[in-house]
Amino acid sequence: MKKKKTLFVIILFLGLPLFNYAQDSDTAKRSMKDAQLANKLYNESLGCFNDKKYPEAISMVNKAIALNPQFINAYYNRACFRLQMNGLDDAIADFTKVTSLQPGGSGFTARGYIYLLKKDYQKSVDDLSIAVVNDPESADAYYYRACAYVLQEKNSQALADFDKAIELKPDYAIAYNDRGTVKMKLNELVSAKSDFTKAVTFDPGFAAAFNNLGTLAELSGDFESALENFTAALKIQPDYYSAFNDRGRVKHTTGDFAGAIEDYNKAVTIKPDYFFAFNNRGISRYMSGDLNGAIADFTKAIEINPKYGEAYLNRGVVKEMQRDMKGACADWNKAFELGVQAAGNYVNNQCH
Amino acid sequence: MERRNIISGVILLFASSGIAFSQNVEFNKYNFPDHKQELSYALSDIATGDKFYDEGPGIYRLAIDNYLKAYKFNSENALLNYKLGRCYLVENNKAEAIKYLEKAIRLDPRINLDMEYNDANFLLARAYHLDYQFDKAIASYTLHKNALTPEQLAANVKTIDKMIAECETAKELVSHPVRVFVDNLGEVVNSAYPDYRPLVVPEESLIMFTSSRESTTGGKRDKDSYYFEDIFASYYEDGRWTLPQNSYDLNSNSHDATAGISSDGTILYVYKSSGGNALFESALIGNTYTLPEQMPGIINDGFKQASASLTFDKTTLYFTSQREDGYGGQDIYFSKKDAKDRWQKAENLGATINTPYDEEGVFISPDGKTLYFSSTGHNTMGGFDIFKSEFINGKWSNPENFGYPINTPDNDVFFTMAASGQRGYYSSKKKDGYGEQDLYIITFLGAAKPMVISRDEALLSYKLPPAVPGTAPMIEINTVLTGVILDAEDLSPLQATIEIIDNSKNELMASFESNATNGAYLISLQPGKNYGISVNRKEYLFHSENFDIPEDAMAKKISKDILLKRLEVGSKIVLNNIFFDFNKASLRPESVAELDRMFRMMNDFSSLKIELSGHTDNVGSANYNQKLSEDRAKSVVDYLIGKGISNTRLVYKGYGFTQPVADNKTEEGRQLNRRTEFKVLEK
Repeated sequence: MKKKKTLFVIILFLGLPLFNYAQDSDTAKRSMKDAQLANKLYNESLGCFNDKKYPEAISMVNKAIALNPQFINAYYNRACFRLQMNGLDDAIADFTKVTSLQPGGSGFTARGYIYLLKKDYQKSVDDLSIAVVNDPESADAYYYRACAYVLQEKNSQALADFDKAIELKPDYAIAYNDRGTVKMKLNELVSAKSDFTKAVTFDPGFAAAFNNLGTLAELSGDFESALENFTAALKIQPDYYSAFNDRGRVKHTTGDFAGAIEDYNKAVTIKPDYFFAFNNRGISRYMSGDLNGAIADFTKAIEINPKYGEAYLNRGVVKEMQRDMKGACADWNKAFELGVQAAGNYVNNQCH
Repeated sequence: MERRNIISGVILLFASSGIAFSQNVEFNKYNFPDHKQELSYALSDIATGDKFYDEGPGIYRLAIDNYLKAYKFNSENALLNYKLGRCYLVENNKAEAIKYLEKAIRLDPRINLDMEYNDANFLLARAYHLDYQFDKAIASYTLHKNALTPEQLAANVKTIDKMIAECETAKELVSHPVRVFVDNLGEVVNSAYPDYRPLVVPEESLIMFTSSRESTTGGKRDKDSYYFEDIFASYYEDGRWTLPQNSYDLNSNSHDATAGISSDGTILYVYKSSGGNALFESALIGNTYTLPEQMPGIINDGFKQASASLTFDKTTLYFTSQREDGYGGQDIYFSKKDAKDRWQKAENLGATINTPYDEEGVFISPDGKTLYFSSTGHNTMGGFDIFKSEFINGKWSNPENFGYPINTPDNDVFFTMAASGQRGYYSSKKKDGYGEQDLYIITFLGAAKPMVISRDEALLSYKLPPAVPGTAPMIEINTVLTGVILDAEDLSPLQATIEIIDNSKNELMASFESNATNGAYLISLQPGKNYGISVNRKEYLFHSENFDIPEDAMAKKISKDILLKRLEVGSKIVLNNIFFDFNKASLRPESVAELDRMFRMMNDFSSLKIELSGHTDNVGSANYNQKLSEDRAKSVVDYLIGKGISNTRLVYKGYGFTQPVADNKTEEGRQLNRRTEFKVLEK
């Protein structure tokens, strides 16, 4: 997937015009020497960036911008550098500068992407809508806007944009994968499977797509296929902790509690704050008769995420079996407070 | 102690005489000729045990004590093992029962035929059945059934088949336990004697029950040797049940038993044998139940009525009766009150509820819609099981077994639901009991509480690494090297292979072709470096030179046209990319590319014979320069010979500074004069 994504990014910005030669009249008045020095600093900043020397990269590109305030690519790259240092707002400021210097360029795509990262989905949609007008052939702009729509729960618009992205780029693996996830949510399992299959066909190293195929198989009750796909995902990406969690869940479902616990162990080793895996391991331990171990796991999950209502509910169930009705009722009350409706029934039926 | 020695002696005797242990050893003088006295004691113990045995299950434990004394003398007697097994079975010690019954059968497989109906295989089947070894039970029931005479079979096949069916039911129910906790009410409440028929007041602060314990009124024993039943009461205080007290006002010297209680606790029903096995009614006045009064004859119809339950509105009474118009055994009836508050003629509850077997322990839910009762019929897993039936559309539904672990292969009976609906009470005979029937509390856990397994939502891929946009590309700030490749004679454009070497790193940077039509080429190079360029084309001498692109040539264009000489005798080229150490003839590493080009040419043209000549500037003496130039030319030849080129094809010469190509007065000129040349001698 990493390789794929890299390719994607390169392709995304191949469409970026070579701004540096398109110097406006003001810049043209500058001495050639200053312009050349700005370019040199710009290039050196990219070298620093590639060497992960981000502050140095920013310092150099700042100098380049000082020498050439109309240097669009320098603003663009500074945004990228700042983004690497988690400066989302600074990155937006630079991309905004890019869009003002070149309203018809790809700055809107980049800024729309940053808004997506900032979870400001409407602004993301707004920018990407300009981007697709500026460049109707931009599969990436359509893809990003589809993602923003998904996160706004506008599934039909999202599907339309995914369709367009795939039409423009027929081997667009991540678009297939993400369209599949939307279809999976909409319970269009057959169509979703087709998309995930295309995703792994175009990118055989796409671990997430294999994982999604596993989830689909699990939802269809084909546990054997689910295990195969989760295992394929893990072979590609051995630190894919949620795939361990998913495979553990299927093993649990098929009664292989020991195997499930083994997978959950790996998940929490890779990601020690992965509360889902602690919760799930608690359930497998409970089913294995290890009630105290189960309690410890649910408690750990709650420590990591105090708003994890399901873990409260599960711990309550174990406490009930340990004859600790007071503790069980306290947990169910908490779970209900956190929105777990089933816990309310338990409280009503057994805690009075 | 003396007896132990005798037993050891017996075992040794069997071992030494080769008598198999599986052989039955009768208690007679032939088997124990030297132990007449001990034999006499053993026979006496057996006789005493038999006496207790015949008096009934209430004192089987005394029979066991005596049988075990005889067993110590002779453990290999089939009948004694049989009796012990039978007693332990009644005493609820299934493991011991199985041990002795298995041994009895092993000692004498025909013991079945010698006995009456309750033969060893049947009892062993019962023991397995009660011990949850259902497959073994079915096998033993079948074995027993197959050993019966046609007459015995006809008389008993229905019972045996029912028990086999019970085992099948038990297997199913045990594999799907219901979600309850079942807890013994504890040793304070329960006794070593039968404790059963629990009734609770709505607040569950008082439990009244029946017990055949020693402290019953009058202290008499029934014909089965159990003490007469009495009603006892225990209060729930400070989280525990108090020691049960005899409810003397309700009891008599005969059997007195709890039969039922209204849902508000204000009416208590009592069974009394002294009143003709009838139901009595007692009202709660203050904190005391009044003396029981016998219910009218329309309820007590001359038959045994022992369990009753009143609906919440107190207009319908459900009760058990052994009336003769039933479906067999004891059935459940109901009676309604008329407008004048009089009980009407009782009606049988019908074949949906009642079976040819016994129904017992009726309890109606406060809303009158759910009936709980025990039965030895229906799909019981053994003995009495508790069943539930719903009153739907004017009919009682088919009774549903209440399930394991509430029900067991033994008797589970007299269920009463607490007003809260969260707990129930009943009597059962279980392994963890304190003897015979005990009182148990059921905590209903409700429907299964599925745990919630979590998983991550499928993520969109835009966040997958690298989750940042790619940067804009480097800006082209290099120097453009451009030119044409031409034939040195006719200046026609040539398509040739051009190689660019970064001399500072000795790396090949690019290899490309000049345009076939116009011979043009173009390449972008970073300024501030020294480069080597070589141009090759078949049938032509290769061209090589090195050049600097100065730092200040950034973004500029440098033109370099190159003329290639045809490969002909006499044609020569300067090898510009061969470098020597200062004032030495040793080749520097960056010369390798050029040397290899020569090697390839020598290989491509196997008849080619060449001269390598060295030339110097005029700095230094003529002799020194002559020798240096010759040594340098020889170094090149040696390299080629080392690569496999025949020395017959190679000639080297040193010319010192005798053939300058530029003015030695300038550094530039001297640099041009310091050179290695290549000349074609033969083609």
